[in-house]
Amino acid sequence: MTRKLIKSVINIENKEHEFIGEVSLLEQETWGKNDTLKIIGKEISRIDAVDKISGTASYTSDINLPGQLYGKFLRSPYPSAKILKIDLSKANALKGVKHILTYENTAKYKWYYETSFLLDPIVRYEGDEVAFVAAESEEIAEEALKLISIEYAKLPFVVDTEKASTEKNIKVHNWGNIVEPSEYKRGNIETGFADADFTIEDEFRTSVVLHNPTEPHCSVVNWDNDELVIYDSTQAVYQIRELAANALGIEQEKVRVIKKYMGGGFGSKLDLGKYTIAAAIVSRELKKPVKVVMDRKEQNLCVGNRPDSIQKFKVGIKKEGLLTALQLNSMGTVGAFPEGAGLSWPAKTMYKCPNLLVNEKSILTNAGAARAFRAPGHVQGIFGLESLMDECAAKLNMNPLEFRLKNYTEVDPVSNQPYTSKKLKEAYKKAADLIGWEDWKAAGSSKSVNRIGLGMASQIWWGGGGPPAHANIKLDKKGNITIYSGTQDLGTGTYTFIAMVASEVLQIPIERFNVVIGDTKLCPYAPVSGGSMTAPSVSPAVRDAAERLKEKLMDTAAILFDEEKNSIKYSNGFCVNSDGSKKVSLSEIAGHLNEQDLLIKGSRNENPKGYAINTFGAQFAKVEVDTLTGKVTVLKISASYDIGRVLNKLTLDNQIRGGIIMGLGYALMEERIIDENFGKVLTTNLHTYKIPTMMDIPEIVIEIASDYDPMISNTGVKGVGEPAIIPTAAAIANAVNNALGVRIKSLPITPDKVLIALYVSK
Amino acid sequence: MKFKSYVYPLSLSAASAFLANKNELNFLNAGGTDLLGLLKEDIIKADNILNLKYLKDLKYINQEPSGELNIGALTSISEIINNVFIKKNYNVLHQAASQIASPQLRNIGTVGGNLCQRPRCNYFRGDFNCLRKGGDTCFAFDGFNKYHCIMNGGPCFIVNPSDLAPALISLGAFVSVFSNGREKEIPLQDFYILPSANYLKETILEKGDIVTKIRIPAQPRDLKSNYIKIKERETWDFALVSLAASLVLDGKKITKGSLVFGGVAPAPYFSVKGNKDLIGLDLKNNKAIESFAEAFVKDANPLSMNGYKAIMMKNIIIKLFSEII
Amino acid sequence: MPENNSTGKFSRRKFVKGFGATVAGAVVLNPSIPKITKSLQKKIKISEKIKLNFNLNGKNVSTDIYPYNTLLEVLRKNMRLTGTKKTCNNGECGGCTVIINKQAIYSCHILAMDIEGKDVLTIEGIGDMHAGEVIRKAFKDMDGLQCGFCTPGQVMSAYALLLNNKKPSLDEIKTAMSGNLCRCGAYHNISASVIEASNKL
Repeated sequence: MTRKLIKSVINIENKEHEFIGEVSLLEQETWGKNDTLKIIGKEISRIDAVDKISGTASYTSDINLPGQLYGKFLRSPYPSAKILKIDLSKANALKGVKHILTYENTAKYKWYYETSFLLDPIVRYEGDEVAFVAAESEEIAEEALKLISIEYAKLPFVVDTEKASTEKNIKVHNWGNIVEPSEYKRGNIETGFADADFTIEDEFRTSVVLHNPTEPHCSVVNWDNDELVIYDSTQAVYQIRELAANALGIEQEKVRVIKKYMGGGFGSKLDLGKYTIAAAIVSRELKKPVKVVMDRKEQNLCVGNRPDSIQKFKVGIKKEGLLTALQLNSMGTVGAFPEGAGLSWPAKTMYKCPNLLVNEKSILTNAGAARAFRAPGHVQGIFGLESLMDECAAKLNMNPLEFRLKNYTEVDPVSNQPYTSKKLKEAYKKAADLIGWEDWKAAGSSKSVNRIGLGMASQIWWGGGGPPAHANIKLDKKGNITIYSGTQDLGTGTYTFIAMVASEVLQIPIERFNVVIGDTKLCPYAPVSGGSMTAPSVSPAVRDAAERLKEKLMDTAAILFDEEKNSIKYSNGFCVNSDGSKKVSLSEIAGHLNEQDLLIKGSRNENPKGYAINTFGAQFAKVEVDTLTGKVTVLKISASYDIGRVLNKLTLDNQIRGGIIMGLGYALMEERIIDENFGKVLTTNLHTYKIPTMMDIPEIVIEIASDYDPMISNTGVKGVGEPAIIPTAAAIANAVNNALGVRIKSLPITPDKVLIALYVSK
Repeated sequence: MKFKSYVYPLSLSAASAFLANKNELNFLNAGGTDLLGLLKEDIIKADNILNLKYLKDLKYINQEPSGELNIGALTSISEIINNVFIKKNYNVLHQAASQIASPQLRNIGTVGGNLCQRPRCNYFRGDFNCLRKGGDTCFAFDGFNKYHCIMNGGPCFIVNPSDLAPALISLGAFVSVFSNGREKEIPLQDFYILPSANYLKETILEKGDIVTKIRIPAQPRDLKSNYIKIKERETWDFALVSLAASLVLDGKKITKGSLVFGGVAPAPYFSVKGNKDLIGLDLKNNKAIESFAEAFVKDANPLSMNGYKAIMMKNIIIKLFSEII
Repeated sequence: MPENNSTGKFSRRKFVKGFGATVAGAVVLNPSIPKITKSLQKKIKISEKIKLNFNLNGKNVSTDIYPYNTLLEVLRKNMRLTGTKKTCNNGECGGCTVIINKQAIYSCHILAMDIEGKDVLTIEGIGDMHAGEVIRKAFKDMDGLQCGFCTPGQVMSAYALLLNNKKPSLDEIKTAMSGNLCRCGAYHNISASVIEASNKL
């Protein structure tokens, strides 16, 4: 028996999911350290680089099917309204307009966990979908939107998180504005505070920020007889298949989702888009392909965001630096539809603290709905927690790193289980050395105009991946090898590491491998690319498949040589017999096979039971603050991580730097701004919604603290996409405090906040 | 973005006459960086667009023997940045130009366009029928006004977004406007109007008027000038507060000078009294500088979210003085 | 449009015209390009297309466009070159960067009419040139990309920079590349790619 079916629970993007799926029984030993390997861990250029660099890579938004129509949504200009009357006559009269969907002529497709419909007569945020036009060209579709006349009854609205949380009269949904408040208790909070020598209370706030991937959300759909083909810019082909089939009430097998390249997602492309289903409905009706591409304003209104947060902490500490109690009351807005704004996992799991009380609320407001955004919850939560930890250290006149080490935990404080691996201490040391932490002085030591500050923050995330995740490897008669897996490459290097893993096993150059991913028809199931779980889930399945292929090759060679299988040696793509007299290449073996091609399935193993699997890391920041202008310049960030095994050092460092830069944007400039009088978003383009440019970035140095996780899989890889962004804002905020001796407690730390804080502190 | 036709003029007068047509909404396209944004976001409606670029003789940087510098309105921002003479002698202009928008926009954006660009107020640029678009309310007044003016505001509270304008005004530049068939020259400092005079437009330009040239008078040989722009992002960001300074020093003492602010008022902001008080200011005397800077801010009248600009305005003077020595 | 529902209203003042009367009876003169002359005399309707001629990647091409089409629309739709990306469509991100007469330009933010008679170089056109090949190899070797969507624009900005400045300093690189946003944040590798290409050229 090489496989079995299991039930497993996995945390993806802060939500627990239960799967029943097939796993491979762990037959291969985890590889040794990377210095014993030939390919893994090296700096290998992307196998898809040439395609992307030369402009020949076809992204979803570049796909055009013959005879396709173009879809566009008419969106509500109001944050809350009821549609009274729809007049389509002028729009329908425009030449080239082929079909218009409104709630009046469209079935009630349930949406947002059944709290709304694909097209709902009630609109709950600026940007909510009102009508869908399909026309012969994008220009005609846009023109038609202007010709649709809608009579609205405006309804009262609320866009402020705190106001919505206590608002009695204005409800986003008739059942209220609070989504499933949650409570978590550990130990006894009262005893914990009673034991403390000091208590500190403080409040931290963060802003709503937007994913803004460069490629807008888009789909091109077509019905091929009764099969629906969806080209989608997505992080989750199988999930889109399931959700689209469910939405349309058809069999999953009748839906094929394809995504070869995609221009960034960061969590916003995990969900099924209304545009995809609207396009599918029209396409089915008119028997023509339909293409929908969001514009940048829609990107900023309608396809998700990171909730804001208001985090109220109370913490108890002993003189010698131990945490005795931690209380957290937090809320954040998830926009107009149910989502989660929880952020307490870092508070629950980062440090050893016996007594905890957490209350969290996700608040509905009349704004675009939240979606998972690169380490949802943790980015906000670490900012609050790690700012607070610095305040604790300051209270005790202790070095912030020393304070954190005093509260280090060797077991997961929630489950009390040991970790499969935890090299956070090593990560602290490496990152501290890289930034020059020995120069750290207490906050506010400098009185000059331009002040330098050092700060640090820790990171925890899941990222162990898990089953079910599969990869097929196919050897054809000519010796070509293709690997198929229903995973995705978001720019994270999936294509490349798949080839690298197979290359390591089969000992032939990576150029020999053709990698096909992101197609539900061709590829076996693999999980969504979210939660930092692609590499830890898929790489073991690829290794499993490659190892099984190697076995098969050796079996075949044994037959060819007429020898016992265990006497055959495999080396660099050749099978050699016992005395070395006979040698046959992989391609030659393939030629001997009677089958047209050999297809072998590999699968991810089950995660070890009784252990917690987490990634860990630390970032240290060096900043300069100009006390005259209030401008914060980040000079340097050092980062060190326990992310298990490094697969590809080149793409890994790139991805970590990218996470840090996104974290820098979160720390210093990104903020969705809504006018509270009208409930309308004021930052709907890329110069009012500011993301970092090449001029805004610091020097970044990275060192990895881990060799591999010895327990989780045959590759020992953990994920890194999310760990990369988690500690950045907190490290920068702590460095700003260190420079100024004044703490900025809300993000982003813009010049106005710095100047006001300095002015008030005088 | 739609319009009926794209029109190529053969002469300035033809262009001017076309733009002056009362029955049509006609706009000129110089670099197009602002125009296209306005059209795409439906902030203005256009019947026809006139291609001013077709008039090739509006693109030049001429250094006259008298020491004057003449710059054609269609000169691109990049040409200003790359001009060696400007870089050497008019640091304030070089610095201001270098911090405009992004490299690609600097390659097509023009000097004339930069001076005439419409405000960047979120409400003016957004889906709001604000005062400046013919509505009856300034939505920034009790809305999101972090980026709005602290001086000379009301009934509209925009700030002038130009980087070149403060720099050029500090140099005492003149602007030539082709109007009613002839060219007239006025000091650039008189080119802008306040919302209290007219909140529907930002400059004195009337329909049919075309900016043709900037003239910078000869400057003292020992001119020290600089432009500091405080922004939230290093590229493609408008000034929170900016300051252009053109000074003449005797040792550490200012003998002559001009300070012009961006980002604080609906027009580039300067104070006649302030520029007079500059004379004799000792840049080593921190106390004197402090009280000089303080005086600039006392007229500030911040809105609910932009009080920081008053601090910033004071600080930027101190910063500029400390860096110019 | 929202109506005012807030305090602090300002009543609209009567607008009194300042000075300067407009010229009546404006005559639209035509450029020397004959086809445009003809069109103008007729006053082109928006449904009417105009012939646009320009040099695209070394070849003279002509295509029918509307006067309000941007260069990006013409490249992606008329010329079917999808390497140039539509990302913000408002001159704010650089995904659509092309080179016009040796300068990096946002193709989404320029009217196609304005490139009449000019040389336009897109990502598809640089591969055959030595510099293009070197830059592309440098981006591959230094991993100057992640998702790759902004990459053609980055490569074009790099190409424009190296065209005009063979040995740029790091500051010059940062400035020249600052009009190209990369949300994945591959900036360090992108600047390293430009340096690598500069060393190899």
